[in-house]
Amino acid sequence: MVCLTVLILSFGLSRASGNLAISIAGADASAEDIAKINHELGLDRPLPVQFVDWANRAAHGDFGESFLFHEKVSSLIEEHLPVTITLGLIAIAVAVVVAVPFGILAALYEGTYIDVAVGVVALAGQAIPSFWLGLMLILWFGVGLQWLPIAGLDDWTGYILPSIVLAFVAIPVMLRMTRSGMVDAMRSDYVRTARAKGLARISIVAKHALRNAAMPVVAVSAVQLGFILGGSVVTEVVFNIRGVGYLAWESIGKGDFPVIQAVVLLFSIIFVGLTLLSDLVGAALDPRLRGR
Amino acid sequence: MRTRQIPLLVGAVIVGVTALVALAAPLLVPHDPFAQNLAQRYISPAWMAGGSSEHWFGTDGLGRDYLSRLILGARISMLIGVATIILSGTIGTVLGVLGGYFGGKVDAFVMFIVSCRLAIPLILVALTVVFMVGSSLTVVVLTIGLLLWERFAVVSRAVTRQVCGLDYVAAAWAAGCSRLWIITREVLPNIVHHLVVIATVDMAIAILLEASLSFLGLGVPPPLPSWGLMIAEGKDYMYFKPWVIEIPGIALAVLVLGINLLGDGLRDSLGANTDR
Repeated sequence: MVCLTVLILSFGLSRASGNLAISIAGADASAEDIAKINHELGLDRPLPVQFVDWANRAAHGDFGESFLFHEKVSSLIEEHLPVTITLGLIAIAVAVVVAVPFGILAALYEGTYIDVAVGVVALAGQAIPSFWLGLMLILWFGVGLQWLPIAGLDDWTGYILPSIVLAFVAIPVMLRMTRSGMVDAMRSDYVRTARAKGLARISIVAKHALRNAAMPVVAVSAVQLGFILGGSVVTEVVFNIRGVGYLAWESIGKGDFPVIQAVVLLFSIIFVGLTLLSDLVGAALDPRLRGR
Repeated sequence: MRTRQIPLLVGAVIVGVTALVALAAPLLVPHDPFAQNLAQRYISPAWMAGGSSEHWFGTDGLGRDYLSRLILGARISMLIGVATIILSGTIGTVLGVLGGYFGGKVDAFVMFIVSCRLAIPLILVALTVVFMVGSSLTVVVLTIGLLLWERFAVVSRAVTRQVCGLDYVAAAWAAGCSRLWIITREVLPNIVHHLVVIATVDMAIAILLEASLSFLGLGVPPPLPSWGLMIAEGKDYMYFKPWVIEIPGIALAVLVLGINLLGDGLRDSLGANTDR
């Protein structure tokens, strides 16, 4: 249902834009040329017909041909998608590794200066625009220290900076979730019981509190991965990485609608899928959520 | 003063000062922010070698005074932030309150459009819309405002449901008040503190989104000095003069941090914990 709406939307989005043929043929093209292009692209048919045709073929994985690259959209995406997905997965892993320990730290020292400091750093992280962070990291590590490449993905070192930038988006959210989950868990009855039994602090934190606090974090990381992928446009442009985001940016700038439609639809479907996954993972980890 | 109130105060000061600067921008600018002078390109800021007190923050690639552009940029960021949350806040609150109050089919419909909105890749769609309609300040505000209402909707729906279960709503209903009266006089005043917190969150997001769009070349059009656009314009020169991207970037980060601190502080002091 959601997918269908997005389907209509992504179609409507690209057809609401006035005359496509003019933008392809150039402003001084003759009326005959325009009519010819319109006919070739099937743009002279009624809109509903175009939509049903497009949706039908899209369902079979055929998004038509790119106006500008003269290549099948599906193969363009196939070519660009692995990079974006790889970066997204690395980024979400980085985010978990950073956010969870600091969230636990803040929760264990709740209300102290450590807690406040972690909170402020998380807020500051949220405030830094990701494209600017990317540029600054390029300046420091690429140009200043010359440790890492400034653009592209020639070897594994090229992945480091972009995944840090992507992870930055998810870290504050996941950190806050870990913290509030841990704070609740540490106040709970089962932790008090564990304490009363005389268990070591480390085992209380790791075995009792964390298991409960981590569940929503694991579930939310799937949704965050969706946001990271959606935000990949900016990072890929900054680091000049030829992923789907970059492809979309290029296509938008040139009005290449088959590509835009396909990418918007792809990201929407991935997001819906990840949200579903997040619910399933949540249910698998927490028996209390099942059957609700 | 308690430790917890310090962030609120810092945030309020940052946002307050930026708002004042934004309002008084025409009076504050030392130079015309649009006046080009190609003989004076990339003059360094006053604290660096080669800088002068004539241009405190130096000049950009067209010789325009950077401080003046930064000041006018504050105006653009604040305008974007405030205008979008008014628009998105209205849409989101109306949807959320209706869904939360009436429940049933209305609620199902509201949740359906919220999940549709969530499935849309924000930046991509915003870029496409701005490309098609043509970039201007109004278009950017409308695009962001029409896309960013889901947090308002989700939160106002949740808190409306809570409030509707309370005795005073039942009492008003029993006293024969109309639905409209209950929603506007009983429900809204009691959820407004939650909405204020969401407004700060969304304002920060809107400002960052505008900067990203402008950076990608499909936001506020030149020669307007959006901070994101200033970073984009300075990007090619950053290897030689890092300050051309550092100055607007820091301005952006400080403003957004201020808004976030303010929002966090308000959340604590108004007791509107929407984090969980």
